Amino acid sequence: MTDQELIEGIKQQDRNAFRFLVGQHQRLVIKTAYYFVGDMDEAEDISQEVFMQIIDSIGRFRGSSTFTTWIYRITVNKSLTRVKRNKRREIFTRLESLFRPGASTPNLQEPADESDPVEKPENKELLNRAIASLPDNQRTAFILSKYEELSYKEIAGIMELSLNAVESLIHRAKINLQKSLSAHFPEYVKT
Amino acid sequence: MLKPEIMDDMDLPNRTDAYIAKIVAGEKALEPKPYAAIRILQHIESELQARETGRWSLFPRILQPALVVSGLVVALFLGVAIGRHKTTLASTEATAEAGIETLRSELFLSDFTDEENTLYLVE
Repeated sequence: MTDQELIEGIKQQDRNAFRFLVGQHQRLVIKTAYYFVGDMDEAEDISQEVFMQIIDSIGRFRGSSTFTTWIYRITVNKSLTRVKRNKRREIFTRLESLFRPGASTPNLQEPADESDPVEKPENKELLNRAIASLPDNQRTAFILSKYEELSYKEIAGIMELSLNAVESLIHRAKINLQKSLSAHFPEYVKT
Repeated sequence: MLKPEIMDDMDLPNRTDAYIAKIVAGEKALEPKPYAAIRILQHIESELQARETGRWSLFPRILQPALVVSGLVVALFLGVAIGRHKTTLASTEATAEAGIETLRSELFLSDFTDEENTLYLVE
């Protein structure tokens, strides 16, 4: 099934087209969402919203970008919305824990032990937090570049930015990540 | 520590980048849970069905409040109309009463009303 046939099928609410759409793109959507939220169940949840959004707004797809680029764009937007919602929830939970006796928040300033810090799950969490603390556009460019291994041109298409802007975003994202991580792993940072 | 080939493969400028690349590589190895596509399709199907059902249930959902509001409006109008009618009747009665009172006072009829109705027997 070509993209054009698929799009027409979705417009006709053809269940076979839906099956083909999900079969072809679910991996891309779930994995991209996962890189933003860091949880596979939540990523799957986001993917359900993404596919419903695709079905609902297929009439607005004008073909100025490829179908895959359009799907990426919807996935990124849905994921960023979820991340923001999670952040608000996290702030609320932290505030709540302040008033709950005996509750403690995880201490991110713990010194690393002698083993390779990359192998420790809490340090993966640390990187996820560092990525999550990046501004939305830097995070998106970084994830699409490093995790999805998309070219700057593809990222520019998804984010509707120029190539130079994408290059600059990724560069700034890397500098910001280095700053965040150097505080925790000085041995990993070039001196 | 990091293997040299990771440093070379990623072609990253420093150790922090290599650290990030290693974690990213681990994350990339993760795959969606089995049958995710089936769950997504089920969600789409149930969502579309719910919308279809919702479209039909829209009529009573709109009709019910509309009926309640129109009932309230009718009750309000009826109340006002009945109230206005009662006021007119009351004022007509009051005017008639006042007229009678004036007439009675002008004709000194009030004196008779207060007169004692006692009969005195004359022997």
